[in-house]
Amino acid sequence: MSYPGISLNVAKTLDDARRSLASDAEFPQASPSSTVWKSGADFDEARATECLQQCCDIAEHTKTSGASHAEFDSQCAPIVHRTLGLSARVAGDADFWRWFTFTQGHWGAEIVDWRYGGQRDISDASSARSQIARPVYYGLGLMKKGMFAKLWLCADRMHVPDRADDLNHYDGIDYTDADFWDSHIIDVDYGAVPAMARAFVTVVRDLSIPRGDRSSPGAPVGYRDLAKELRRRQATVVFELFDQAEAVRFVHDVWNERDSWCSR
Amino acid sequence: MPTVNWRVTERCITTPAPSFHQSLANVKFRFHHDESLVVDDIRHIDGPQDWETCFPEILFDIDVDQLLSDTSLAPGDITISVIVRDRDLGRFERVHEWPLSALPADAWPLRPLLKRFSWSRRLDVAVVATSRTSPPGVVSSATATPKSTLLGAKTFRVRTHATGLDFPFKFVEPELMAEQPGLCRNTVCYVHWRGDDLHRPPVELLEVWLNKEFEDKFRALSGRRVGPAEDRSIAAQVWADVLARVLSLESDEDSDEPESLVFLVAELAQRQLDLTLKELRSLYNCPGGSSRLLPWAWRLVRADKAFANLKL
Repeated sequence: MSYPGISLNVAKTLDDARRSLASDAEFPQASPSSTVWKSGADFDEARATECLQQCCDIAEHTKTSGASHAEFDSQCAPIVHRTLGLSARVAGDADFWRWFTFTQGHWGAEIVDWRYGGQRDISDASSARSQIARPVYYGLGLMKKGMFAKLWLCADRMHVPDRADDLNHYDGIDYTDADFWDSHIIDVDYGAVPAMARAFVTVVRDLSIPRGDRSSPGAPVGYRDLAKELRRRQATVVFELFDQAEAVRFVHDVWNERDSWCSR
Repeated sequence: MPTVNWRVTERCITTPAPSFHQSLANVKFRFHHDESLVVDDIRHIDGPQDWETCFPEILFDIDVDQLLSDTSLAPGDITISVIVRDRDLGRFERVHEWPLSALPADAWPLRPLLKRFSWSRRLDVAVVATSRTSPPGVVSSATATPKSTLLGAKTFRVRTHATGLDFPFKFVEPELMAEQPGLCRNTVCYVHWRGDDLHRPPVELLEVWLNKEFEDKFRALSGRRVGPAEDRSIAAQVWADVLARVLSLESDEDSDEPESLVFLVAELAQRQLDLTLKELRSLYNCPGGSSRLLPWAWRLVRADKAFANLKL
């Protein structure tokens, strides 16, 4: 029982090599010896290939349809979550996500470059390489900042295991706003409580709550203010004890009481 | 005379729940069978091998009488829950709960419930007391469901041992601290320079002193291990001091001697900060440049084997 991983140092070497390459050179391959097979869980490499293929298809479709990167994220996240079928042991290991990014001839890294490097044309390999994404998006920084790990985490939090119909299997993942997911789901503690994360996303989506701007007194109250208030209440309310209905009711109530906690 | 505009807003303060953490002070935890159950709140792990062999257990030694008397609640109104917070995976979940009156009398095994979590470098195991009804003094509208109102909590933190942050140090008496220029008895940490020639190897040049008066706290920070390895703020202070010394040198004094402090710092700075020593020095010597020291130091501390690189 094992799964693959690439250590941080090996990934940094591969990243350095990519950055120093001429545009027409081939990307350096992760040698078999640089992959560490780790115990504790199993992983079928064919799943990685299938997942990367689907992510690439979505990227191509996003490009041709003129859709936004946020829409790409919302479509790609369930694919990464469902296709890889990871156990918690594997999903929580940054080495695995680095392997996933640099395996298969850097296929994953190229998608990351297209998503975060400012390059829209994924089929044009030479120009794709001219705009390489920041290392953090390959998983060379915090795990949750790596593109694929972040997509998996978003989908995992939105995942409703007991829903039979696939469309609603990831309730709320269709909310397309990159800043929203980064700042108000991934980077905050309440976002790590699945019921609360889903409640926050669905309330913001269903009530069409605007973003809000705390620095501007005239701006309407928005989800940024709501997120701040939720973080404040986490000191005295144990969000982990909520079921889904309670979490939604709580977020609704806090939003409805906004006159009491927001002076704007 | 300028007009002063006062902007006054009235805010309705949400009264936080009163906390009764003291009642949970004696809740005990152990990570391995070979440990005794203790109340310390930090455990260090070395990595996956520690996870493979761990059998975490909790002993709910809760002062029930004090909790009931402090909260004025009936035993049936209080629930005790165990919550696991996997901060790497971003998954916080309640794994079990009991009414206060039905708590396990013996150490309760947590291992079977950890399957849903990763072999995290940052795992919190929290024992929380919550009420089924709002305790007196709590504004009920502040919480949507009274059962989630926190009465008290005790959290045990399991952390990967911070490899690479260990540095040689020694505990010194507060009096010795006070003897150094500009220091007092309460100085927590001090970098004692044993020489001025920064072209010498670091091990001959500097020594980190920690105040013996705070020894218990340092050791608590390190869990099973001895040493201040986990206290990154101290590590950053040490690095800031080292950087200040090196950057105070004139530029033509840089060294090519690979064992020298100057050379090692230059090498690490180039790798971690992407700046040469000359660039660092010019930034440092700008007005307000000294304020850059600590941020630089923090970035160096986050490097792999930050102190091993310094060959202290």
